[in-house]
Amino acid sequence: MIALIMSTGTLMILGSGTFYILIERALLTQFDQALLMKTKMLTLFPEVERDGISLEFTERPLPEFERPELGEYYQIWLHGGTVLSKSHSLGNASLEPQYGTLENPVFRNIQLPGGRAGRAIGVGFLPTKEIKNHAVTDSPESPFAMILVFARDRTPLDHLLTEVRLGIIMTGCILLALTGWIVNRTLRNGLAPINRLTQEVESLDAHSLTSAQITTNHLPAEPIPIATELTSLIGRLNEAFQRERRLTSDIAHEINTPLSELRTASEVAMKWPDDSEITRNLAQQTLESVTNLQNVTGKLLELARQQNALSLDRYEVDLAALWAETRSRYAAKFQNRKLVLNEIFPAKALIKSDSVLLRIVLDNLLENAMEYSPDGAAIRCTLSVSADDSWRLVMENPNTALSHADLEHLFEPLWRHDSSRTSSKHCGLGLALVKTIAARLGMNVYACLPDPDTFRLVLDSSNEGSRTK
Amino acid sequence: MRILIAEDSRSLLRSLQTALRKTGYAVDAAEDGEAACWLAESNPYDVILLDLMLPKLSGLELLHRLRNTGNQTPVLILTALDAVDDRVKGLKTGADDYLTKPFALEELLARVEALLRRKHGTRSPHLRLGNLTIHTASHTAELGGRQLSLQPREYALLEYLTSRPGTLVTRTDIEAHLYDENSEVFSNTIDSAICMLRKKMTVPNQEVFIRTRKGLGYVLEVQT
Repeated sequence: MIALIMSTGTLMILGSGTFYILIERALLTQFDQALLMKTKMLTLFPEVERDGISLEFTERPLPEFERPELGEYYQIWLHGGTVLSKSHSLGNASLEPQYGTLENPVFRNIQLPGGRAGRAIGVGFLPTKEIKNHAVTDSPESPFAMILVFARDRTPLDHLLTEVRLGIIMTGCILLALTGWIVNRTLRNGLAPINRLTQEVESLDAHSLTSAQITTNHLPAEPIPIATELTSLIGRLNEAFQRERRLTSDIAHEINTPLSELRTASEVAMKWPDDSEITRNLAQQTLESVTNLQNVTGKLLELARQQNALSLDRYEVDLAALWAETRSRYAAKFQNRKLVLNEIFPAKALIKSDSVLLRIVLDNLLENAMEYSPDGAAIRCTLSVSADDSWRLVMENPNTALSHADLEHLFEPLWRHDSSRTSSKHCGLGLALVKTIAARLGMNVYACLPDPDTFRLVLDSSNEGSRTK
Repeated sequence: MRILIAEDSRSLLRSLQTALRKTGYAVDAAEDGEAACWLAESNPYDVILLDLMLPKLSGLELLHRLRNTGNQTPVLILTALDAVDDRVKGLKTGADDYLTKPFALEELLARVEALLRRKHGTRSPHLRLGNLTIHTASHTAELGGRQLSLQPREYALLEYLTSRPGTLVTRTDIEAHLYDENSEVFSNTIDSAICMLRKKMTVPNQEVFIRTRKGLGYVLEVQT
């Protein structure tokens, strides 16, 4: 606002200055015109006669030249410098014989007798020709050529200019003050909705985002899109906060549970140290809890590492061989649970990728399919490679619990279908890890239920696969 | 005193069962909400230790169901959810206390003690009857100035009888409050336990006696 008032003030000063200069010029021009008119009139008085030059007004003196207080002065010289006549108002003083022509006279400011400010006009001219046979020429060199300097007191003009100046300054000051007040009031009124919007946004924090909505009914039309976008942003932030809170709570639960098991088992063993059964159980419980803890923290760390990792080591990998290696690691588990693995794989599938990351992905996909299949179930795995080197891995296993609504949460870290988070074997990080690594490798992973009894996970190296079914 | 633990972590459940049994309580355990609900509705528990995140039926739903059916058993919530909202929700649904995992075993035992005291309308950690004093915090008893050497089950029996002085306590009451589902209670189990307790209470200047009401049960009385 101050900048606006300063700018307005500067413009007003510039405008007022220009206005004053124009007025000063107009008044001065008017003053000079008056001087010129009087001068022209005065040049008509001298006449060349037989017996010399006659100055009519010296015989009948003009009253305005008689007394200094009337403020008009003149002095006439012959071309040679001889003073022909001067007004009584000059007294003993003289005017400077600076002159031009009647068409182009010389105007100047002078100091009048008595010290007052005046303005003078100087012209050279030829007097009126009275006698026909008298040798009067129009040449400036003529012996009858004269110089007239006419001066007038300019004090009234200066007073007028001072009043104009004062008027402009006072008007300017009043206008500036009014402008400041109007600008202040207008800005305050204009910015009031924005200030209310700012206050609304300032009052928001992580806890009040849940039901926060920027109200638009008090806003003028212009900032409404901003408020709408802010509400939308708040919604997105709220979702992100909720996700973070859920994740933090899940992490706390995943870590607290084994810690709690360890602590209680240890305290029981310490409280009854002589009970050999308690001591025996402690070792077993400790191992189970530490393994669970290690599983959770290991996967969380891997997830964090993959989310922040930058470099990839891409080189030629035989995906079929990598799959065979993965499958062999789980052979014993397959046998124990009588699971059947139906594979449709080409003999060789050469692709460009990071084999370490791919191994983690395949491990998690197979582990996921195994863990959520009932004993004796069949798991189907198909790899297809296209001519353009893109490939698609599809894992299918029996669906026992998932609904379509669950699919959108499936890749969230620590999400579990079982809200009680009872299972200590799974912590809900495997598929989140797969999703993160797939994104790093430029692949898409998605889940779908082609029929209610079948769960399908698809890993697709082409970008066309980005869909949620 | 008989306690129900509803906890889905098998390892934690095992430790809690051991600790509470060693302290002298009869303990039943459930690994999911539905089993816990069935047990709570079938037996007269003195305290229920309840995990909130239970499979099949959540702890809060179970608590809600119990309170709606008029079950007033004190409930201590044990959970990893430590947000204020979760605690408030648990307490407002009808829980009597709340303990966040991981917890100190001694604190859990102390809170269970406190809940039991509150249930039986006493605030002091000592029960007194004649010259018998029961220290509920240390699970010890003194009679006529002498410390009684009691097994946990014997202590529990004496505490149970002392909390009902002069009142007839039936065998069924004793079975229901002092023996859990895994205990093998034969026809003479209660009589044997009473007999053993009587023997241990036989001290000079004994003022408190366990009287048998034939065919009915037992009464703890003061006789000077």
